[in-house]
Amino acid sequence: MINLKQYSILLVTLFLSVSLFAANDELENQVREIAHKLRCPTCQGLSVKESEAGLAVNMKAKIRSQLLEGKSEAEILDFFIQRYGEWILRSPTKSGFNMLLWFMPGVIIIFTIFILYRAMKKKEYHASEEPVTTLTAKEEAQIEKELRKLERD
Amino acid sequence: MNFWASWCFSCRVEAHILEQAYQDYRSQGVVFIGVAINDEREAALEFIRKYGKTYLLGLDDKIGNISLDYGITAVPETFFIDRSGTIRKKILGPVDRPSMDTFLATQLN
Repeated sequence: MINLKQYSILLVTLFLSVSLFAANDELENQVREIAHKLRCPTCQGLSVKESEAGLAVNMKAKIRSQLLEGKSEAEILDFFIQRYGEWILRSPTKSGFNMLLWFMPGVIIIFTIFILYRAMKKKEYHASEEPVTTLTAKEEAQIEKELRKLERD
Repeated sequence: MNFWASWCFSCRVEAHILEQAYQDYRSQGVVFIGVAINDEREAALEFIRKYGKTYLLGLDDKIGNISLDYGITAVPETFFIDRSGTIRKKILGPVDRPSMDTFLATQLN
């Protein structure tokens, strides 16, 4: 039979195990999240998260150790940027010259729509301005004369 | 500072070049350091014996702290560091003798 003391120890052990497991799970999620933002230097088109290359494994271990030291995501990303350059980020940062990369596609689309709109407007304007040709008195007399001649023949 | 590994083919290509350069420049105080990354101690020692390397060699730690600090992308990679400790040049792939001679000529004069 389990007495109360043994039961309490069992309960506390169980609680601590669950807490430890949850904390570890949270840490691994953070490692994966940061690793997903970094480019694997030795692979083609893979993130550090997706790669199992030696260097990518080392990078994940480094991310884990820095998180355990209490470093923030920004500080960890900065560590890799300082050593590998901005290239190591899979998405460029939204600052400085990189702003151009982020907003250029939108600017190009808006500019294209504007150009098309102006071209269409211009076409409409020209269509509505089609000249109405009226005959001069001399021309009308000429036509009248020709018609009469036709009737006679 | 040369990053290498026993499993790396290109590292075999440069092994004798590095050792010969070390022999030629050691008397002038030039320091050669080799850091093996993602490697096993025994495999690294076998490589050292096979290619007769005599300069300072060691293994990076399990996380690869040294190689990550240097921003290594692959092996081999070699850094030319001046007297003040500033990295002056980085060579990706096997290092060649003319590059070493040119750099060291600027540092030893």
